[in-house]
Amino acid sequence: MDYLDFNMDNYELHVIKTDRFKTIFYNISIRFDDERETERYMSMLSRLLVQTSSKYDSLREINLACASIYDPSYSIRVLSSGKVDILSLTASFANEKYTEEGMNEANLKFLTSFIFEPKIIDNGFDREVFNIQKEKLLEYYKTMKDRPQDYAKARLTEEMKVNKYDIMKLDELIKSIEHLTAEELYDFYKKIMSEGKLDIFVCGDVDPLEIKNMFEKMIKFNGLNPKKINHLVKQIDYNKQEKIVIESSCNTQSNLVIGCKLLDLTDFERKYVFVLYSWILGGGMNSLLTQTVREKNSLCYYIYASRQSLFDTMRIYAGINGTDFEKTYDLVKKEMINMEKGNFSKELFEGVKEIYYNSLIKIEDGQSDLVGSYTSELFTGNDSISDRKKQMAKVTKEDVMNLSKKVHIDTVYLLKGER
Amino acid sequence: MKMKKYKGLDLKVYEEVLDNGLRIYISPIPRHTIHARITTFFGGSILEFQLPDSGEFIKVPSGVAHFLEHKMFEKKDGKDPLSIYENNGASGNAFTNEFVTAYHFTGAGHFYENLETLLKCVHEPYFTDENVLKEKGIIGQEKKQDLDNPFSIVYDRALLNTFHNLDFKNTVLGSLEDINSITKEDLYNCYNTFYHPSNMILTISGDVDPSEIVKFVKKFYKKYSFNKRSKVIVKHKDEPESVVKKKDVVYMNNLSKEILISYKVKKPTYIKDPYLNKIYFSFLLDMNFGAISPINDVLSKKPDLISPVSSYLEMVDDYYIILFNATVKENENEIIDLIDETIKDFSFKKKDFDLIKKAVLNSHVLSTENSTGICNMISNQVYFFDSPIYDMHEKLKKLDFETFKKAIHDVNLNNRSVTILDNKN
Repeated sequence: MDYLDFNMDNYELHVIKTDRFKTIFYNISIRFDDERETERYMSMLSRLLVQTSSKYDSLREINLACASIYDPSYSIRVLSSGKVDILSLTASFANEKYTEEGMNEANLKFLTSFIFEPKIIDNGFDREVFNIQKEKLLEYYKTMKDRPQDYAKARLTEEMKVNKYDIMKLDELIKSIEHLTAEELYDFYKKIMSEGKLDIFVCGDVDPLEIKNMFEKMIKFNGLNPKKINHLVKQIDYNKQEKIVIESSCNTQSNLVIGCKLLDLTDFERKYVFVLYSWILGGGMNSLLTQTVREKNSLCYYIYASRQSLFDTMRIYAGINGTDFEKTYDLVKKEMINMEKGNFSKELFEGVKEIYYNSLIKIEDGQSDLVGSYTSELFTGNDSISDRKKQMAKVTKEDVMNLSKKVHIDTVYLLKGER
Repeated sequence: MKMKKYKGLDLKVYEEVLDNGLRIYISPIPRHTIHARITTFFGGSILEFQLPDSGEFIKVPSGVAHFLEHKMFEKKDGKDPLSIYENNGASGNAFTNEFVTAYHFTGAGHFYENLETLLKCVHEPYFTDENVLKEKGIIGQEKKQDLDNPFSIVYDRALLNTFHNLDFKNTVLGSLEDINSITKEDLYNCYNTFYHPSNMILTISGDVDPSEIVKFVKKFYKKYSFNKRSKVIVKHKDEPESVVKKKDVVYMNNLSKEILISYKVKKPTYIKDPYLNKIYFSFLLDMNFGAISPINDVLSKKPDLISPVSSYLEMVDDYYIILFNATVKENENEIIDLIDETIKDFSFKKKDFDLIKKAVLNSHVLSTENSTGICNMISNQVYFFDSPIYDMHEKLKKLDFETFKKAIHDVNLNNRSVTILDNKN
């Protein structure tokens, strides 16, 4: 496997050459600063870009063109990555060795046009598509309570202050999108294109120089090329008395989300110790939370902890009976104290390390994981795969216990089922 | 051990049948992680069957196959198989659908210890009244997740509205009442009937040595006394072509409306090859609702449609079931009528057929890209068609527009059931 980086005209092209796959994976990432207002544009922009193109008049025409080049799969999203947001196209298509000659270039051209050649009319996105997509998006937000897990997650995000700014609450976001115009969205798009940083990744059995030549002809980018972008949002304080928000619903099940902040983490702790901490506490069947809350007390079907390492935060999710909230919450706190005291087995500690090592091996099994791993090295300063293994081997039980003292419950949200 | 090839896909499969009846399929793909899966042909839609020893027919509560899947991870020595995989750096899980229950792990390290764990997991049951009771709380919460999910609500109801007699009409999880009624005896009856190697298949793919694996598996089974057994007899139920209820509205406190349309279609008979029969039938959906169909432009312009319209095809007994699902704000009948007109539109074009054929070929190449995809493909083909379809790629290349038209010309799309989750307001 070879990693090749090319400095192009105002952007970087990264080619991962490997003969392990029959497909080619393609990713376009444009990074730009995350601001409070960004939220109102994000979902609309991805919906618009994937549905409009200056080359085609209708969705059917786009899909016909797609089928004619052996149906690549693709999606466009705007992702949150700490202080930065990323406009991202990811795509996968069969290598032309399995279809017909010329298809690699045809696929790359077709996919690239979604990001760089949207359909613009009178200084704004196609009004017809814009208005319909806006209405659909608004309905999606207005009916979020029909999707209890999503709603509970969104509500915790509202209640727990993580960023420097107060994020837009759902009602405010809905109002803001109601007033959004096709021109404003196009202005935002132009801003990204002039202030963003572009990186392109191609992974598969390809000739890197051939790929480089294709992109030289295909993309002219006028954005910035800053040397380094800092993605990390550090937490500086937390609610000493945790904030508990309980909201009632007509659901059968109650959805519990516990938001924790981690303070004063070192780089080593963030990259390695935090991973082990969250897996021992709530990572899999062996984890303390699953064993205690699910297996011993039969209180839930799912309970798990998930890290947001670019924010130094962690969330614990569980689906329970509303009447079991206090019992469940007490058990969670008890297990967090057990983490501080080191009351977890050596077998569990070594087991999660094994999972980590295995996850490193598995990266090479999927192009998306390969590109994701390389992206994390380039964007957020992750170590190389071989260094990751060496660093993880250094983590001790005491490191995990020390990190436990830096984990603080900040906000608890319960969407309480009444049915 | 026989070596077979998926022609045109660079894929070898080694087949072996053990004396106890277990069928093994191993597909080596160098430098890829290993996925191993053991599947029993016992899923949520099997509720009445003959016990192998007494010959007595019994009926079990719905949800029992899924309950059994949970309990197979409970062991007398307290060592949960999932924990063993985790300690070995692999990830394990299981699933139950209407047709089968499958147990699997993914991970290259400690492979033989993990494989032994997988096989022990399905052959060493340990059910007690206490651990069955404990599981009811956990599965009850799993069920409650579904009871708050609009799609699950209409899907479960649509099955009841579609089938008169087939046990496919019961949900895989069962109702909360079913879950609470399941006993240790129900679990042992099902286990003793369906978890015999002759009713199971083992599929493994990744960087593996097939002959070593077969040697290991044969040795493993030496300590168990499984004699080859004839096929399990599941009670046959005749199913009429009609649906039970043509329209059903469920009222809840939802903010949006959820629709599920179910077409019950007797399998057409023009194409005798069951694999090709299904592929040609699926083109009906691809032609009318796939990415290149004109309906996409129409639907994308419907502001009442909150989600895209998704479609699914199920093969149940003598029927194909086509399901359409969407979340809407208002005017659900307009969407339902539009779907109905579209599915019944047989004015197909050859150039659309040829484009879809390209996409289908591509998706089959992609499905053999990793070990999990390969095990999935082989297991499904053995369950539905009794054997892997080794000439699949050639068959797909030969798909032909005129044959397609003949294959579906007489399908009856008039047996339809519509289920709507409406809001109380």
